[in-house]
Parts: sequence; C-alpha cells; structure tokens
Amino acid sequence: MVAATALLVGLWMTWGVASPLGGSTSRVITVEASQWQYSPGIITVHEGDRVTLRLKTDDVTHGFYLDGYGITTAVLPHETTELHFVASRPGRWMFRCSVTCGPFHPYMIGWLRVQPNTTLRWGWVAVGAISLAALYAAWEEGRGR
Amino acid sequence: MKKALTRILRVPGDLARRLPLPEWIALAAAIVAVALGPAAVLGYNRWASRDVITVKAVQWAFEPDTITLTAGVPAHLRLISEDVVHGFAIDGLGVEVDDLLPGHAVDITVIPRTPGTYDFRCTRYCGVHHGLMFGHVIVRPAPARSP
Amino acid sequence: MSADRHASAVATRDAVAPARPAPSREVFLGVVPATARLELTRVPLLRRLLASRWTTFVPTTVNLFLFAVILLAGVLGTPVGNANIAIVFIWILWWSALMLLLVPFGSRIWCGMCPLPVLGEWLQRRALVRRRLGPPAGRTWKWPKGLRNMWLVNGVFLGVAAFSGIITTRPWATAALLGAIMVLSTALFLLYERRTFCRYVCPVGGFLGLYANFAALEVRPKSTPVCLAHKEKECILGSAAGYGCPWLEQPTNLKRNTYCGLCFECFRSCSKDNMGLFLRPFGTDLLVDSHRGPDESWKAFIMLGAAAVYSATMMGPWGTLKDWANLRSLGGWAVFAGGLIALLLVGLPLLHGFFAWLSWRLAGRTVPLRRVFVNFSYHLVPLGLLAWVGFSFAILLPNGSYILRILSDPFGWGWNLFGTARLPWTPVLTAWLPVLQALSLLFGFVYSLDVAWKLARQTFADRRQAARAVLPQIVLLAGLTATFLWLFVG
Repeated sequence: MVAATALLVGLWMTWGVASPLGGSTSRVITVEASQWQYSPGIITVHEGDRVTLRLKTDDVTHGFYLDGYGITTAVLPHETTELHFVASRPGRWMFRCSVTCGPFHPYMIGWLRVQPNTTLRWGWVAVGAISLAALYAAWEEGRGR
Repeated sequence: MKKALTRILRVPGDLARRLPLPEWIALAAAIVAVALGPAAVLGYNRWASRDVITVKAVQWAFEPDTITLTAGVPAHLRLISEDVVHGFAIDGLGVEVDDLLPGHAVDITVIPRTPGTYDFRCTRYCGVHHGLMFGHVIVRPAPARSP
Repeated sequence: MSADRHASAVATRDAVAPARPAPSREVFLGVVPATARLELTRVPLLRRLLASRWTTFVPTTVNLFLFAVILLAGVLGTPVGNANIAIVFIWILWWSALMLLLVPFGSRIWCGMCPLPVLGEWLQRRALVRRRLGPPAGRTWKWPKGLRNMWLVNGVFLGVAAFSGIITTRPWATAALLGAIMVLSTALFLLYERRTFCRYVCPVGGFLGLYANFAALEVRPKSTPVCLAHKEKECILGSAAGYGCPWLEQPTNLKRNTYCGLCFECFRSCSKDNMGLFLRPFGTDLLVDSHRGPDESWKAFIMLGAAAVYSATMMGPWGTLKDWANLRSLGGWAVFAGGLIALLLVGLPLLHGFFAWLSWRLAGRTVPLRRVFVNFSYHLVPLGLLAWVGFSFAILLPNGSYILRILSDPFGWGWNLFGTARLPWTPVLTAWLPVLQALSLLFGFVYSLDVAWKLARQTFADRRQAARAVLPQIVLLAGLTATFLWLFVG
C-alpha cells in the first residue's frame, strides 16, 4: 500500500512535464501593464519552454521583474519591450512592477506558473503525508490501543 | 486654564516643584525626541535647498509652472516626481531629463545666457493629459553693473 | 550549563512548575518539554538592566523620536510610498520585524517600547522616568465590564484592515492613523486607569496579545512560595520603587502572556526580586486554560483570514481586487470591505464551527460545544503566525532594499545623508521565497497539529474521546494549510 502511494505520488510529480519528447515549446505572450495590474495576471508555461514576453503599456512607465529569474526591464508607454528567457525554474513565481508607477505600485503583481509546480506539489504531499500519519495515529488512539 | 485642567483632570498643581535630576534628564530627552526630529528635518532641508528651486512633477502639471531666472546666474533646479515616471526638458536651454523616477530627485544646474521665455514640458508619456504638462522659464536680463 | 547552575535551574523549574496550570507532562513536537524554562535573568547584567527604569524609557523615547519624524513625513514628505519613511519603516521594517522576530521571540516586547501610549502614560503618572508616588492624574475610570475582552480590539482591527490598501500605500494615511491612535490613547490614559487603552482598545494589541501565547519569552515569578508568603503584593499595587502593573495584570498570578506588555514594572516594584524573564518552548500558553474566550477565538479567525485576504489582494494577480482595496470606486471598496468582514467574522468561524461540531459529536457530546469551539480555536495560532511569517517574507525580500534608501532620504526630498539615496530597488533572494513560505507553513501546520492534540486531551477527559475529537481538527488544519500553500506558492 505504501508502494502504491509512492508510485502514485511519483507519477503525479512528473505529470506536467509532458512536453513533446526532446523539445520545448516556444511561447509568445503579450502582457499589458496598467495601473496597477498585469493582463493577463496569470501566465502558465512549462519547464523548459522558451518564453517571449511582449510587454506593453498605455498609461505610464511601468517595469517588470521576475522573481527567481531576476529578469528586469522597464516598460515604456506606446512601446513594446520583448523579454526572452527559458523557463528553467519550475514553480510559481511572482512578477512585479520594477518602476514606481503610482500608489499601488508595490502590489502590482502577476503570477508566472512554470509547470510542474514542484514546490506546491511537494508542499501538498507533505501536508497529505503528515495528515495521514496524524489521522492514523489519532484513529488508533481512538480505538484504544 | 490651568485651574480648569486641574479640576477636570485632577492634575495636581505642583508642576512648579523642583524635579529630581533623572526626571529633568528624561524631560529634556523627551522634548528633544519629539522636537529634534522635525526641527532637524525642516532646518536641514531649508539649508540643503537654500539655493535650489524645487520643481514637482505630478499627473498632470508642474509645480511651479513658471520659473524666473537671471541671465548669467547659475540656477540649481531639483526635479521631483510625486507619482509616476515623468520627463523634463527645457527647450532652448539644453536641459533634458529622460527619466524622472518617483522618489528620486534629479538635480540639474542651468546657466541661462540669453534673456527671454523658454518652454519646459514633460517628455515621458504619463497618462491622458500628458500634453498639458508644461511651463515656462523666464530669464531676466542680468542687472546692470555699476561702474 | 555547570552542575550547580543546572541544579538551581531545575530547582527553579520545580519551584515554579506547581504554579503552572495543567500541562506539566506535555512535550512539544516530541522534543521540548512544555515546562522547559531558561531563566534569562540569571545573568546579573540582564537583571540589573530590566530593573532599571531607563531600560523602558530609552527605547520608547527613541521610538517616539522616529514616530515624530514619521508623522512629519506623512504630512510633508513625498507622496511616493517607497520613498517615504512613513511607509517603509512602518509597513516594511516594523511589520516584518514584528512577525518575524519580535512576536515569536519577544512576546509583546513591542508594547514595552511603543511610543503611542507614552505621552498619555507620562501625563497620567505625572512623571517620565521616575516612580512618582501619589494618585495618578486623570479620571482613572475602570473600563466597562462588558468590554473587558478583545471584542473592541477585533472591531478596530477590522476597521483598519478594511482600509489597509490605502493605509499601507499613502504616507498621509499612515500618519493619520498613527496620529489618531496617539490622540485616542492619550485621551484614554487621562480618563481610564493605567494602560486600559493598550489592553482593551489598541488594534495592534489584539494580535500581539493572542500571538504572544505562542512566543518563546515570558515574564513570570521565579518562585511561587515566595509570592505566596509575600502579602504586600507590590507588583499589583505598586511600591516606592515601581508602579503597580500598568497592564492591570497580577504578576504573581500571571498565567498567559496575553496581556503582559513587558514593561518590567514588576521587576522594579517587587521587593523580593522574584520576577524573572524566561525562555520557553513555542506555543506554551496555548495550553493554558485560563481566561479563554470567544473574543480570542475570533481574534484567531481574524488574523488567519487577514493573512489570506492580504496575500490575495496584495500578492495576488487579481487587479479587480486591488482596485477595490484601493478605493477606485466606493461600490468596489464596499465589496472588498464587506467580503473581508464577512469572511473573517462569519465565514471562517462557521468553518471552524463545523469542524468543532464534528469533534463534539465524535467525542460523544460529553463536553459543551462552546468549550470545544473555543478550546480548538487556539490551535489556529501557530498556523496563523507562520502564515504571517510567510507573508512577511514576501514583503521583506523584494522590498527590503528601500530601507537603505530611506536612511539617506527619508522624505524623498533629494537628500543623501549616507550616500545610499540612489540605491536601486534590489529584490533579495526571491528565488528562495516560495521555499521559505512553504517551509513556514509546514512548520506552522505541524505545530498546530501538536497543539490541537494537546488541546484535545485537555478538553476531553477520556483519551479515546480526545483522539476521535482531534480527527476533524486534523482535516481542518490540513485544508487550511493546503489553501495557504496554494495562495503562497500555487
């Protein structure tokens, strides 16, 4: 039973790295920055993808910084700024505005999900495993050992 | 007033009695703490900007929008954005600041030679009324020297 | 530790242990006994330091100085938040310091150096640093009995939270809030007795008080027999050397950290030098069954819910939610505020209530449901605090660099006092942020499970009943942790 669980967990952990064998996808995503959000606010790619972000804005000068990757650029009004990177780090990373653009600038954040989100999965696995252990222990106590 | 305070709040009327030394020190420290910060800040700022003309840029105006200078006299301008990224240029005086980042003051020195009126404007698109952000620099002739 | 110091530490522990209610055999995480204590005041220097009246006066006055500067910055300084000391020092520096360091390791130590009540307290005592005998100034009314709980604090906190979008981004709003709290506190000090304001009104005090139960630091009497034999009760009534406990606590009888503000007056007033400062395991007071109540339960719900709402609004990708919090429209803000209040006052409590009801049923309904509900709300504290720790990492790592810039140009006026004013915004270690947040949550989860099991055994006399009762609580905690994990790293 433990082996079955481990197998299931292993399968789930690797699911999502289901890109075509031997290649990664190129993705081009246009992101519109405005006061004070990105649109789309959530971008999902797969680990290993070659990502091009086309950043534009129509109101004021914004910026773009990607947590974990450290990529930064300014985004000027009426211009398109292109960022190229390989999504080598899986997980969910916040991208945030790096140029002060008004009062809500510190909260101008979007999410980049690089699948598989191993941090989340490991976290959930940990919660599940700990819970199961705790439930089992409590169940045994409850029946009176 | 003191009588009213004494009655309402029951603050005993012995404020004039001598305080022990630690209390004097504490009182001095408290007064310094409360007053020193603001006084030092305001005083230092007055001194640091004594020859400085501060121009604030905000959506969508410059404050002040008219600056008066004298020909031949160097003028120190401090440009501060209060909200978003602006730009600043004075046509005819060779002043160009591409990035006026909010919270980062930019200090420039201008030495106007020729009297006249020069326009300055915002040079970074900053919203729908960006075109309304402009002002004037009036350069007066140098005062006549006594022989 | 040397042999005799160890012996006297054991002697201290044994002398103290009988005074502690109940959990004398509990062990946290299977490792640290709940009665483990390390008396810090065995170090003579520290004992002298705490007994000195200047130890409280100096940090408080330094903070008063900062407060005056911050208030001025809010009014006259740049409206750009990250260039204004008011925003950077309060919402980045102070808030992170509270959650990451001061509360877990210092209990309510911020209260001991908070500048907000000092003007009022100085006026009330008619003295700044000395112990002045005689009646205090002001009315010294007693706080109404019905409000001697956390309910008012909960309400004020919710009111502030509804405007958190504005308060945390506009320097003028931060200054207005702090100024208003100071005015209110000064007034209440002149109307009510002692630190009534700090205890029953201050919005910060609510979560400081509840989370202080998790803290690893405590003020307690060193020896109970000494207190029992000492009739004068100087720690409560005051003596020539110190005021009676300003927090309206009874130091001889201090069972939980909730309302101890670490002002160390009892160290000064006690003629037996019987007050001590102790290190202890995290979460100790959560097991102390003294003065528990639904007001504290709701504080736990509010803090847990606020961590989630703030994360979603401030760290989330949902622009509409941010617009609502930013008061872009009155209707939108009403949805935000209403949703916040509904989730924190009603939604989470209902969720908790459902699982408490399950526990109650599984245990055979032997204990009143209300007691089950209240007792089990205390295991939400470790998870809640660690969720705030995770949230604080997400504030500090990306934006901590502003602190360096602020030191040189606190008002955004173009100064450069220390040469750091032009430092660019520099996020730090953001690659580690998801891992840090996940680990914080997992630690909080494990600790909450541990506390939940201990609370179950405390609530239900029969061990089998307790085990059955804790089953739904495990599910609840797992669900909450999984949700926070998704919010932080999903």
